[in-house]
Amino acid sequence: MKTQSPIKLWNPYAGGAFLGFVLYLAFLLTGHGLGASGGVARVLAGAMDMVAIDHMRMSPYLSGYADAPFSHWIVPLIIGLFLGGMVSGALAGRSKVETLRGPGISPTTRLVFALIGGIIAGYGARLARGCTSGQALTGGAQLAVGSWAFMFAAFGGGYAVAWFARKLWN
Amino acid sequence: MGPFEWTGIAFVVVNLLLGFGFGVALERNGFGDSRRIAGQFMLTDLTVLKVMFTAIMVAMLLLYWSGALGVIDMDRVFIDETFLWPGILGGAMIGIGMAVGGYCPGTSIVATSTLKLDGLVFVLGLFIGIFAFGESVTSFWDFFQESGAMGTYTLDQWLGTSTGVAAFYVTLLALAAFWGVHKFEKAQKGEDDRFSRAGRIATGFAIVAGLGLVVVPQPGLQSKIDRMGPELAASLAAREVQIDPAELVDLMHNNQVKLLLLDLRDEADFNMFHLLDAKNVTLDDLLGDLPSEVDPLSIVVTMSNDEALATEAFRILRAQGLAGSYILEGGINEWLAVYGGVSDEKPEPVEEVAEGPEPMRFTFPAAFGDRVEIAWPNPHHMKLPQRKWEKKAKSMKPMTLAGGGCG
Repeated sequence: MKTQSPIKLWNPYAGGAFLGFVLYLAFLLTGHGLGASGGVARVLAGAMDMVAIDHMRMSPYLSGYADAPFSHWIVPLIIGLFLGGMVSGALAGRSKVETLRGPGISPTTRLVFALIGGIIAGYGARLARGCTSGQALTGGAQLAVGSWAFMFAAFGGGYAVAWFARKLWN
Repeated sequence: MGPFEWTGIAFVVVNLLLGFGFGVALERNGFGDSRRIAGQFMLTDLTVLKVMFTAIMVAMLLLYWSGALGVIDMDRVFIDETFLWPGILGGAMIGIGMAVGGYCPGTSIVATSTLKLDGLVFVLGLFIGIFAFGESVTSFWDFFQESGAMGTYTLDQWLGTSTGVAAFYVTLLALAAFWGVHKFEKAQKGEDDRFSRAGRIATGFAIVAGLGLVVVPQPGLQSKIDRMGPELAASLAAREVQIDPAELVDLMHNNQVKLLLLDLRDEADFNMFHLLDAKNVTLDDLLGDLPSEVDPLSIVVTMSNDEALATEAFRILRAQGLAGSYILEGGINEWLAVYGGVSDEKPEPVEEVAEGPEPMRFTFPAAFGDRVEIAWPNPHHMKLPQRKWEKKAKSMKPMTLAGGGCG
């Protein structure tokens, strides 16, 4: 089983249509779209509330999330996101411990840049009140002006640094 | 008709299942692999663009068709509010994070679920970034809450078209992007760039679905007015939305609020006397597209001679989504009764009140319009009668972080 080659990925247009259908189901069933970064923020707020409650109360932003952080829809949603990825990846033979990286860099370099990228994206996701899921996908399908501006800004930001980041990937 | 209310265990299960489908979709599109996501920015793999634009197009077409057919009540779908500048800045940061770190928040969770160490480390980075944001946001709170804050603002409003036309433009934009990507990829590989049969069929479907939305209208304002009827009747009966003349004077002198005065009376009464900067409008004007100067965050006060027409206008405005609309209590007649005594030009009670549902009960020696002091009573220069009043108008501040959407 370990030697089997992974199941092929979907055709991106078919896969995109499936993703769009899931997003539509979210609108139909719940009236909200999909999201991810808001869930990460709530998990963080919940965890901090347990270990550093005094500090939490000082931070008006995170303490807004700390009241029953797990009762918001986005928390079960990202748990489902994790489980869906896990099951799909395992069935496809893509679940294994590895550090995905470009051919020209070491695993350590890759992890350092993954951390840096995560910090920048995490900060940006809260500033923008959502990430690729909650803003670009959800708001994009709802024709929200701010979400379309967000999306173009995200592509713009990525392409602006692409030349500097090329050694990480090529 | 969706969306539905979920409570207890069903609430958890529904969101868990939606998340599960989301996770499968991201994993099977290869977004658990940072190289694929970064490839979008290196122009070596354009899957991100294809998947994202297809998903947006499909979800949008299904959503607005469901709205048109009454399957989804669009009023109860939470639409991401626009905070333009924080959104643009944050979006650029996420783009940089994707090019450098190879993931966005959702995809890093999927990568972690398939044991990718770079995904796990990216998630750790997210925690740090979110924490840093929480620590620093207080130093630029006004920028975060108010810069380019437009409330619910959609492309159709921006373009001044119907929702269907805006959705059709987005469909065409997505198809144009697919066409460009296809030509680019085939040219790079030196392959035949004809489109597959399935691709042509799907494109045809999308165009027909998009064009259909141009023709089939979304549920009209009238159905919204009817639906909001009972709720508004309750606040009208409790007199929660009729503001005292003295409160309006207060609002007129409050430069923190954006105030819009709408006068529903006929032209003759309007020319005789109206409040400074009031706009003379008819109910029909309000049933159409609202003029662009109407800001969803303004306080709108409607007025007629008494309250009847103003109340009709109020119902329409609330259905139009202006949560900050109110009625001038007692109308212009009450205004003149309260402030007439301190005016430079004294209004006289009309001896024979005109026929009709809402007659003006005062008259002036000439048609003064707003060239009377009490069209804009200034408490600093005039001794206005003291009144006890209860503040009812709520200033519409941009929504805070507690909302739905992206959470």
